[in-house]
Amino acid sequence: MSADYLAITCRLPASVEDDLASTLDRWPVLGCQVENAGAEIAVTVFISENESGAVASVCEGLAALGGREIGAGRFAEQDWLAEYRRHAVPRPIGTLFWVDPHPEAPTPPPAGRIHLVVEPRQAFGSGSHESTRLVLLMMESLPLAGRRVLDVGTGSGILALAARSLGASQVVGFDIDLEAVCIAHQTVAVQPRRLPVALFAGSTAALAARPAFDVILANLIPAEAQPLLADLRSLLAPAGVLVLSGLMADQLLASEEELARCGFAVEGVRELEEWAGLVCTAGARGPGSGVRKGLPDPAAIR
Amino acid sequence: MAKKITGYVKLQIPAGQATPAPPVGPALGQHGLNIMDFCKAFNAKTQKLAGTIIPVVITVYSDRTYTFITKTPPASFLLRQAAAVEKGSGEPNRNKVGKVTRAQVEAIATTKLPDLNTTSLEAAIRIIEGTARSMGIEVVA
Repeated sequence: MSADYLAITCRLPASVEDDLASTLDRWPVLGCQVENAGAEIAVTVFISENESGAVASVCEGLAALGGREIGAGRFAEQDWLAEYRRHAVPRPIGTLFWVDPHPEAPTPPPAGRIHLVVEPRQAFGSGSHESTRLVLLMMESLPLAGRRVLDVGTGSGILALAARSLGASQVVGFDIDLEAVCIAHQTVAVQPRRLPVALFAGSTAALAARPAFDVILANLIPAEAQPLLADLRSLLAPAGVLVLSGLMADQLLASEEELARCGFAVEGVRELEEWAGLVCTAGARGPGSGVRKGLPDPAAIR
Repeated sequence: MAKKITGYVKLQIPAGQATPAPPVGPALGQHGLNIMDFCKAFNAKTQKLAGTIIPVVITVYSDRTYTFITKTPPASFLLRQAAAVEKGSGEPNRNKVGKVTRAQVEAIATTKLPDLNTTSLEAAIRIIEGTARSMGIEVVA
């Protein structure tokens, strides 16, 4: 799924750096990189190939800011995670997992740990991010053996595989990003121990006819999670559990209100660095219901 | 021991929309940083500002870890939001597209103050008023 990009380079007076964002946000640009170059800044603006119509107006906009040496060219897609991967090392997570970034040369785990091989690629979930680690930590105390598990926004597939490794009877993972699902398929294929997971590219709509899930895992930022919560509530078995991660600690309050509105009761909160994860059950639907019941301060149960 | 800083990367990215595509992929990839983790963090932090471009400064350390700070959104975005207009005027002198109150301008100036070349709120207010004029947004009492 390689794509090419268009890159516009130019030099601008350093004094207009603050005006750059407001100039660029008129067009569908992917963003820009700014490098200091004496009294000037060297700017590279990137545009996706299918927005090539914007190139001329972006060049004009840069010229109006005092840009000189304005040029445009193609910029080829590359494996930008190669350098990160080269230095990545296996890491223990929680008390149960051993996440290994090297399928070609796996490192056996210390005794008692579950070996998950996840190569860091362009799908989220290498095991290094706090939000992923939070879900893995929270899964350790969930009853997963024999349960049906749904992994929403599966990315690399790491959480789906972890659920399967803890004895889930059936695991379904999905993502709206086709490339992520392709990567997840490959991740499933390289596990040292066979861990079958069903994967698809699509949305919750494809799951409507299935029996409910006992556990739903969702590591999504609030803007992604919020529109899905009502669907997830419908997909959750009456005694089921939703594990929600991917929110920052200062977004907890708003997320808890949203969860309550969609019929979830928050049963536990866990924080790691500036990130937070929640364990919820299916509460009553409607406003004011399912609000956190006499839980200790989140900071106290880290 | 404090970690050694090996460099800074300055990017401007649409709020809540960071992806491993350029500029993020090549800029962070060459330092060996985890691009996907950065995208998650940037998008979580800036999701409420969707619709504008946010400058971000990433500090890279010798152990291939990083920290980043996001700057405030452009004054033009905050003014459009306050005036509830989609875009500024092409002819700001003749064609006014919206209005903001003095209190709104002061609130925007307070937000922008850390990123402006002044420490005076009065001066910041004048800068924001100037931006509003150049966009065809009137400042009313």
